[in-house]
Amino acid sequence: MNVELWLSEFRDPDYVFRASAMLLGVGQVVTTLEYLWMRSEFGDGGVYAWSVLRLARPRRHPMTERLRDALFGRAGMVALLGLRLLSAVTLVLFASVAWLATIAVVTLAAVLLACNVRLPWGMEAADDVAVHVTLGLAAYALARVFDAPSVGLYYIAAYAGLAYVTSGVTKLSEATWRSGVALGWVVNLQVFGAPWAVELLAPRPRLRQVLSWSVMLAEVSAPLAVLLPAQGIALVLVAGLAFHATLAVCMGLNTFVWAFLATYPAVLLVWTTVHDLAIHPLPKP
Amino acid sequence: MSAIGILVSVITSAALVVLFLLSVRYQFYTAQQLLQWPAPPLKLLRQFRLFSPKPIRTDVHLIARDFRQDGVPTSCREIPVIKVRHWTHALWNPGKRRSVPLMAMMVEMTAISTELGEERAAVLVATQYLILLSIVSSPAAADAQARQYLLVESFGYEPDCDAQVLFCSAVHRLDRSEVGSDRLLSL
Repeated sequence: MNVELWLSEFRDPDYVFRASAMLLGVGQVVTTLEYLWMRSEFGDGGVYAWSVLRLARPRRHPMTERLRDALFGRAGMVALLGLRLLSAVTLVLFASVAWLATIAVVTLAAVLLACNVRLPWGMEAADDVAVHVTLGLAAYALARVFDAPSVGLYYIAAYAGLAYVTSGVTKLSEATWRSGVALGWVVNLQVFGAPWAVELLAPRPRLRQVLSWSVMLAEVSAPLAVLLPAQGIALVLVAGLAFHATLAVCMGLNTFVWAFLATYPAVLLVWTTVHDLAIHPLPKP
Repeated sequence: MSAIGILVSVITSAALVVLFLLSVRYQFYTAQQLLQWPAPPLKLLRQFRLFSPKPIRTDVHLIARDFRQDGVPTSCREIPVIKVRHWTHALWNPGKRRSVPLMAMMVEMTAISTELGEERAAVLVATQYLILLSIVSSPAAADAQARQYLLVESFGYEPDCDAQVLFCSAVHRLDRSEVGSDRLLSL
């Protein structure tokens, strides 16, 4: 199989939109089903109890407060999550139907922003990446309705780069990460770690250090991947997938896989653009 | 391309460019600066530090205990928060929708109590305090008259490290008068 020919498919923004929307949709189906599974947490005595959280919100007009209580109470949240699930499933199944995908991605963006407001704790970095992927896709889809250009897909790639670089730079600045000690601390946590990871890494300081440096260097240099040849970028993205899959198994961060995977088609769009414009034109599929 | 198309394109693209520039700027703020400011609108900005620069080293556990009428405390019991890691969590992990926010709240509660120190009344009305209180207000023993919760830290899977109490809530009277068998905690 010609990797360069296959990757050059990603120069088509519609192709990138479909790929990204489907991956985002899968991640959102999993995330939303997890919230629905734990829906009792939105009621009294739960972690997201609106009866308590509303006390920290500014007072509004009584009508607005009634509307807010209806939307953010347990029943309202279940309805909101139902809408989120419907939008996500639509993206998975009908990403190639332009008008349906546009409605789904715009609806999903609105629901995710509402969830951002409603949930003051517990939003992971994966949830934030998913929000920004959705915003980028929504901007692209809306512009597409009018045959207008959009930076939406490029925004997704840039945001992924920002996330990786920031994470790598802040780790590099800390001696405990450079020595590999911090990695041992993280896997030792009951909430984020795993006993088998502790058994593997605790007696092996050299392995911890090698893994830490691999992650830090890979994260810091992630944006440079768009300059690599086809085999190189493919290898980098497969390594990225393997990294997130490992975190999912060891740390239970299952939705990171889908959130970051959803940015990869946009990264490939940037890669094709860079190669067409500055390095050498890619073959036409 | 229609005029409205150009308008949509310009507005959405400009909004994303601004959002990206703000996101880049946001990465440079210190934790102290962020603590002093209100959360960004719609929480669209965040720092991607991901367990860095210094990751947390300890798990925090939520412990509750009751007090009988004679004032004698019952033994402590842990409110389950953390689930032991299983390979299926790589695909399906709903438990983290409870454990992650709870852990964040408990860490923040400890910081609030340290920061406010003597201002006990301010601690008692912190949202984190009230959420944790609402979580521990599940049915109590029949002779329980009051309840208290504690936040206790442990060093993860290290078995030989002693757990330490980080925070002790006030003792809250159990009010059973309002809804029969449901027990409400009053401040």
